[in-house]
Amino acid sequence: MRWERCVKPGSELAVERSEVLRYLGYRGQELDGELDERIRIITEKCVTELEPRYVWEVFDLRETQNGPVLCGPELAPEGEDIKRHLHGAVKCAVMAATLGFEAERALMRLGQRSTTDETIYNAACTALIESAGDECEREIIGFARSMGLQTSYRYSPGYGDFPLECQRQVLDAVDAGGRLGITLTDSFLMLPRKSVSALIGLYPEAAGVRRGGTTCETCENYVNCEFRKEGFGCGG
Amino acid sequence: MAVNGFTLIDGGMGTELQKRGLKPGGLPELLNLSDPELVCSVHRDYVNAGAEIITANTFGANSKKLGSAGSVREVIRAGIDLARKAGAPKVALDIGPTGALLEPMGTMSFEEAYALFKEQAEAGAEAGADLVLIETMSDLLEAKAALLAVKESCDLPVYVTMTFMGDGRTFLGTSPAIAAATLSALGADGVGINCSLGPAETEPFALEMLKWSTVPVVVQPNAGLPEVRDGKTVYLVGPEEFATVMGRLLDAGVTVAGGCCGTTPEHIAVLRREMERRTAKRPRPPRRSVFTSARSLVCPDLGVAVIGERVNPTGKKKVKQALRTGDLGYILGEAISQEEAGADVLDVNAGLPEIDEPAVLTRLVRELQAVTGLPLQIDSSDPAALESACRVYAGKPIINSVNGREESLSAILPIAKKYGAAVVGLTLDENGIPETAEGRLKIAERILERVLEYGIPREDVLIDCLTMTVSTNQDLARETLRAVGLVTEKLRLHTVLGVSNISFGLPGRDAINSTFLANAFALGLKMPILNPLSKRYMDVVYSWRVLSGEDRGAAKFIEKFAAVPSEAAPVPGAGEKVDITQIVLSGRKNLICDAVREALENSGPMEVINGLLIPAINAAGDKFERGEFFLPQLMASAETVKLGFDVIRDRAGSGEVTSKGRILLATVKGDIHDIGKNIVKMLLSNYGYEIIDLGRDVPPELVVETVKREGIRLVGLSALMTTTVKSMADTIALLKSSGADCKVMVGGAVLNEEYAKLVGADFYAKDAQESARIAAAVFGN
Repeated sequence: MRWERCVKPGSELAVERSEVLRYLGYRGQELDGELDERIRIITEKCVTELEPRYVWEVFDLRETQNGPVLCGPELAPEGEDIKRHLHGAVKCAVMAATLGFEAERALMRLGQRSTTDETIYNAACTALIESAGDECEREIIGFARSMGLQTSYRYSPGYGDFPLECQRQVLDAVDAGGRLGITLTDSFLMLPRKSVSALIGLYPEAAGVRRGGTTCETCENYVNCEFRKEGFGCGG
Repeated sequence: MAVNGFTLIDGGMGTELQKRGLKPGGLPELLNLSDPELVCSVHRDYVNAGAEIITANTFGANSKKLGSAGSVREVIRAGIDLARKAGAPKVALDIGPTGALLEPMGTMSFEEAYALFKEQAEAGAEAGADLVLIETMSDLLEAKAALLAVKESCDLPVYVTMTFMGDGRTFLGTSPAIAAATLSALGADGVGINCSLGPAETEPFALEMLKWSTVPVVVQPNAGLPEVRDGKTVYLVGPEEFATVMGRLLDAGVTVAGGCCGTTPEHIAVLRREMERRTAKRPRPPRRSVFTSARSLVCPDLGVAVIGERVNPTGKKKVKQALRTGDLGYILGEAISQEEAGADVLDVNAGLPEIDEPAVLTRLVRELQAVTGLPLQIDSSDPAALESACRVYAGKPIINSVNGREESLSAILPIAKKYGAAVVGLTLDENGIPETAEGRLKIAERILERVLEYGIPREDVLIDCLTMTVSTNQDLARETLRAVGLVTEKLRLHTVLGVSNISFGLPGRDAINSTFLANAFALGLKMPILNPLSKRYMDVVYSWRVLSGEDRGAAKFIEKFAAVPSEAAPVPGAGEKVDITQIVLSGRKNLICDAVREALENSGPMEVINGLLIPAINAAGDKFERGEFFLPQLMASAETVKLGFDVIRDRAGSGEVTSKGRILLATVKGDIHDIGKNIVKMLLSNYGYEIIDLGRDVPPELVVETVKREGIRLVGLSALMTTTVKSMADTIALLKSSGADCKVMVGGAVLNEEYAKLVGADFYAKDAQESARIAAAVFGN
């Protein structure tokens, strides 16, 4: 099944100031008015000039000897963590979201003028793409509920031992190249940089969804985890 | 087979294959070998529907996508053969995008993309294709790479289509008008639109293309926008509805048409019926002067266009230094400033005797395109530099310049012709610059004549009547102005004119310059070359646009000038007495310059630096380490200190304030996440180090070469991803094996002490502040 939606900025997507501050490493320091205002203005610029877009699609899951496979794109996620994550799921959603090349250009331009502005804009972009990802996830949750299913959290290539090399298959499953313009470099990094992709498992109520338990510090993937590097945890 | 002068292309392939049982995923091109009958059956149905051109199943058949799954030549030969076997009157080799993004935003080089397309084009020509269809392009530069690859490997006709979103832009921001103007100038035999949108959404964009294309316009829409019904993606625009809109487009002047995703043999059959009902009539091709970048289009027929002059090393020390070291940041900043100040086109000159001009100019043109949306005027006297820069330029540039000398014309006009560039002709020849306006007109006539002989349209010629310094020969200013008038009236060509030279050697230069500019406008000047950061100039430009009627209702003028306060507003906080440490810690940039000037009245520059500025930034660093500051606070302090340093440098000249050391920074090959590196750069430069920033995705060889050339003692490398840490190790290994005498510090979220040792680094910088400590240790200060 395939759903697609383009989200207009401003009207639906908000970015919390506290989120932007969090990505900037804020820990309650005394914040003077000038810097606070600068962060507000740059965040507003980010939210008004960028247009997040996302796509998602739900596929049936088929169990094989080597773990679950998404029927249709024939996507077999590699890595023990994602297999464990999808254990008991009957369907799997694939989602991709991006802020587009406008974000890419804005970052490059700001970087030439003021690294501070670039850093703040970068944090605002991270908050905005997360917000778009959340919105997309909410739609998937709604869809799952309508089918009497529960969902897990977003799980992306590069997270845990789910290799970044799977990124191509994940993006292709929802034609993120054709629909959103997301491309991959030879090192499997997404361009535009401010893009996310993820799998979300859909489970029958009875299976129960694994949530919580680990923290970043105790996680064996602490060093490699792309989520942590971006400044936020996986929710695991 | 052509229908009343129309050309009919077939419809969707992927959606037809899926209908016939193909599962999504995988490479559909491989079916040419594994299930030829399936592919052939689709072709056959389109032949029966009356399509003249059958598109071979070769869209993604490039070696990057196929990888080890198949050979490009085999897959393409099989694809062409299948279309032929199905009875295709004409077979098109289909070329789609590579799937990777080109530099500077992406990491694939132009040459790499070119090589992929060339391999496809050669295979297609060898297999007997009748024409080439380059389609579904989002990136104008990639489309250009494909078009050049095809034109340089075979003589087949070639159509190029791009795909647009609902807002009329490609993912990378190109509009239908820009695509049409650029690709037709580059020598495509047809340009157009395919995929993404249905016929109704495509219609206005196709009409726009008709206004700007000098070659036939091609339209291949989807059968509407994809919708989900019963869990399946469907396209709901049926054949009759499709035909109705397409009929309107045929009436409007579209002469080549077909379908894309979701269209079926039925759609093509009814489209043929529409063609049979009418006769193709192409509107007269537009004759407009036009220059483009991937994101903007400038047309001097519609009004004045300002060419910014500041990307030029002549008389600019910082530009020279940037060109020599390869750290282009300063120049990119100049480009952005000019765009913000109202420039419409940017002149780009990298002419320094001691550098490899073709290489540097090409890199500069490539990088400018990431930060500015303006069309570029590529300025050089070296044909090799012009050609390589034009090649990687995503748009229709202006070449600056040729002159009346035959050797200049015969060396540069073929380049302009090949790359569809406009060209500036200087009114000088073997005998120098004629004194009279009539003499200059004669040279302009000769240039025009030769341009037309090369097959370049007259709209692509701009004449520069050459400004002479009025203090040297006072009578020549009037001759230049008269020449502008004569060229405009008699030859009906647009003129460009460098303005500032007029006042050389006089005081009050702005006054002379702006008067000269205003008079040149009155005589028909369309494209002044000037410094857009000069308010006086831009005031004349905005005023002239009102007087000439270009700025309708003076709307832009009012918008600009109504907002200007009559008196300068007082600077908040000005007049307050605060000490330098406090100013730096609170990041109050508006106060620092005055405070430093005041300090300089009583102390020498080094005393101010070592006694005030360095302790202040150290105090900010300490606060950051104690957790009392978070990153943006530290950065705001660093920015403030930098302004203080600038005041001292301006005052003292570079001789007295020596840098504390030179550090090379780079984000390693394969990695595009460079914000951490940028933060380190900012902080280190504000501690008084000189930074050479090689940017991101930097090959190890370039690091080593720069270290050796510049005698660098400390290198900082960053990488964000596990997949790119290997490049970091490779870079360090190459540095060590080359015998370079330098230390290496590394940073990035993926690293820690242990990893840093593993990749062979000398130091691990956990944050930007740590990099400053490492630098101090290495340089012993």
